Amino acid sequence: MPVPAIETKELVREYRTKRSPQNPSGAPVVALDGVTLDVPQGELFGLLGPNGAGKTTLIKVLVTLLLPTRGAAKVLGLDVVGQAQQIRERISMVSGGEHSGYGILTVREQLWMFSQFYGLPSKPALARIDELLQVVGLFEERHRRTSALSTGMRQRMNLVRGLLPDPEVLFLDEPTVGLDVTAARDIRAYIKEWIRMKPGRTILLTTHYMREAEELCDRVSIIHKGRIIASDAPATLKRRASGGTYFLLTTETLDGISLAGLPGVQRADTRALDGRMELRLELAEDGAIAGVVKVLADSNRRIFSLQKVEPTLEEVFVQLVGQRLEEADERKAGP
Amino acid sequence: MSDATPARGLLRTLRAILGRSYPRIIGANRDKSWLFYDTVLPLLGTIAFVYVYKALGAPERFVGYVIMGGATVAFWMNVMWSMAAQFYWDKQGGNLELYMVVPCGIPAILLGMSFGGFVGTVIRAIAIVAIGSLLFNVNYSVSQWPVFLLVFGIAIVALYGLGVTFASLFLMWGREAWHMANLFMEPVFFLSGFYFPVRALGFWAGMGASLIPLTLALDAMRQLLFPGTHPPFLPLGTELGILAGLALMFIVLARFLLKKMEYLARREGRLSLRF
Amino acid sequence: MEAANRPRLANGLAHWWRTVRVAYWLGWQVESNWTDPLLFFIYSIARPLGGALILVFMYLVVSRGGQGDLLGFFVIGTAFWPFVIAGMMGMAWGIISDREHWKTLKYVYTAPISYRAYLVGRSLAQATSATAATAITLLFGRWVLHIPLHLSTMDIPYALVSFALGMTSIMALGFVVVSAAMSISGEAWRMPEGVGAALYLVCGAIFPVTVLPAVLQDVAKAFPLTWWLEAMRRGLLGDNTVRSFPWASDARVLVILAALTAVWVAAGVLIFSYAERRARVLGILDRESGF
Repeated sequence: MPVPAIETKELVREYRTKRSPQNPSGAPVVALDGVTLDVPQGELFGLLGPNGAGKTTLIKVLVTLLLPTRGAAKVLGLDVVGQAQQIRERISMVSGGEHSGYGILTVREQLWMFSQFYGLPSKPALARIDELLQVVGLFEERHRRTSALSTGMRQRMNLVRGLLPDPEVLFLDEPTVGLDVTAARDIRAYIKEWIRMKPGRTILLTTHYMREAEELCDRVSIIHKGRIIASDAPATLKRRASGGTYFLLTTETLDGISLAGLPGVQRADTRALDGRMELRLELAEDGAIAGVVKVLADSNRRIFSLQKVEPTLEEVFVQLVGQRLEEADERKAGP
Repeated sequence: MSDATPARGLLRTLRAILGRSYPRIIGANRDKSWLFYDTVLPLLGTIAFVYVYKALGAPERFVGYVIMGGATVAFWMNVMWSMAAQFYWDKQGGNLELYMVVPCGIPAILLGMSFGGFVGTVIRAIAIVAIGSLLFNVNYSVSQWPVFLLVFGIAIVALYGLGVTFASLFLMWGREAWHMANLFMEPVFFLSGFYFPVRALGFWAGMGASLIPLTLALDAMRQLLFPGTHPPFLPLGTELGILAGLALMFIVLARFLLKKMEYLARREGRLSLRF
Repeated sequence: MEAANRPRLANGLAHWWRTVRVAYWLGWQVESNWTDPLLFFIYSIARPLGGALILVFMYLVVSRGGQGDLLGFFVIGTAFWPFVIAGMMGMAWGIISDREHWKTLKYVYTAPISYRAYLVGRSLAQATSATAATAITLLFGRWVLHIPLHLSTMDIPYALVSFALGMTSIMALGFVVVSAAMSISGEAWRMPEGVGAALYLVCGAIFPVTVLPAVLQDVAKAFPLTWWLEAMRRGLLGDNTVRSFPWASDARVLVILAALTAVWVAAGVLIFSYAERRARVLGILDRESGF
């Protein structure tokens, strides 16, 4: 049985603080509150949660930047406290929004410098750099100084830096934050391809973009206030959302037409919208929509739009946490 | 796909040293402003002190003291700003996090910084001595070049060992690092006798100041450059011995502090804080 | 509505003053933002004393008690030089740190304030931090080195007027330095240091300008700082000091200081206006160097 890529057991990380008006008792801030995770090798594992939930703290413990306060954490069977050096030889980390690097160096030089920290011989390292730059579309910019790169280019360079040592476990901390749609899409595409290229490669990805987690991850854990509150494949998590799939239909005013009693219609909510009527229909099965459409057609009611809405991870999040992701971020940010 | 096998041990350390020294060395080539800021500026400060001695009617050799002091300022500034405070800048820029998770380890990175910094600084120091000596017609008579180079070499090892020690301390002091680096300017110039013979401070103050390798290094080099006229603080052999001891002490201390500070930084979580 | 009914000049001045005040407050927050007050205290004492003691020991090693008037010369120059660095650099640092570190330059610049007033406020905040260094150096000079600094022999009105003119000339020089900082990136953060070093050499901070070669003496005379330090020495030490301009009376020194200050204020404003317009044309006002 291969060792898990990542394993944590009741992991706790606290930060000591001074007394302040916001924290009159001076109690420590609990960033991770008993996190237990198991990520097998070969998985693209997502960690989803609002700002301040503990995603970055967890990554920093796993990449050996932070020590846990209590509990245990292992990467590829190696303890993050006592075997940090061995872990560092087999992992790599890329953070989103990074401005690291020396502006005076070119892209190629910057990446070469980091290759040397991993002990890679120069010639093959430079060949590998060129290969990866081709893949991420930065080859033409290889001689440009890093200070002159746009945010998207810089993040692609950072991704290459993370991939250069061919890590067994790659930690991606919000890798697409601040990027435009195209750049973000390109990075996500490459991440998916990279993990498939070689068996055993594992990625732990943190994000607060639900779509990204749904698109990329084999499994997702939702973290909130330092605790894992749900952990499963995205499709399974979505099925947990109460309410499930529903239809959204816009039509003319109903004037007494009742849809709730129709066969297969479990629930029909209506609301007026710009002189029209919007119907939210929960059906026992998708086929029941045909009956609804027939009743409206027979009553000479025009149907302006009809769409099937499936639950999203956001809805799962809202149900589990009690607020939207943005609201959780705002609450964390304070007034 | 290339099949590069990462090295381990000494080879990886050597590669990391070369890698980290690269930006320092290439920076000097790419950004020529150092010609002004790291050569002309210290020279201006040096010239100001030369004129102080001229206003006081000092003997000619005092001008030589000041010029050597000016060259020494270049080394001290390199140690404080490019070694001790560098991790603060790296922390601000996000590089430090990355350095902490690479397998070569922080000591190799610091050695790379030292080497790159030294190469650049020695060029600046030579320029200051050459220009200053030319401008003010200072003559030196070094009879024992091997000893002079030995003093210089050991002093450099001790000095950069001190720089690495400070790098660990500054890592934890965080936002005060910039102020700490500033604090160790004029007081060190004074205590180490950059511009006057350190003997003037008295024995005990001089001995205390000798903790800074530059104090005894300057005095020893002045004994060799102005034989017979410079009032020595301690005999040359004694100063050389103490310097060697300091070099060893700072290397050991640096290693110990680095490990301790890295552990504390990981425990306190202050390593990756931006401010 | 009440403000709108006031004369425009009064409104303008009130707005200007408010900007200076707020910028001063901001500059002080940045400058005094130490986590450890003890460190701040040590920093405020150690550096100025270190600088003064270098000169004192240079003096002691060479003169062994003679040439006492030079000691007073050193102390006054060393005591007041921090104002030059802090005031001039404070202004340059205001723009450089806003641009590179805090990344607030574009927001401050596009706010409906006078940017000059903002820079003056930032500069004054930095200059205030120099007050401790000056006081400590003067006290050290008086009580430890026994330089002839006595209230009974000081010409306080003369010293106060000189000080005010000196601070004005420091602001003017600051605008010139800021103009250069706006135009260059890369090593812009070191440029104020460079200007400070050059002025230290030619402005008679730590030695009489009569020691300089003739051509540098002429350069020295063109800077108001040279006359300012001369005036401060005369105001505080009276006749008990070496003079950079022994041929000039106290009144003449003050008049020349005032005239040069006026010239440099005009030059500073003009140069800054030009640099500002050029930076806007080239789009480099908020350009970050990443250094």
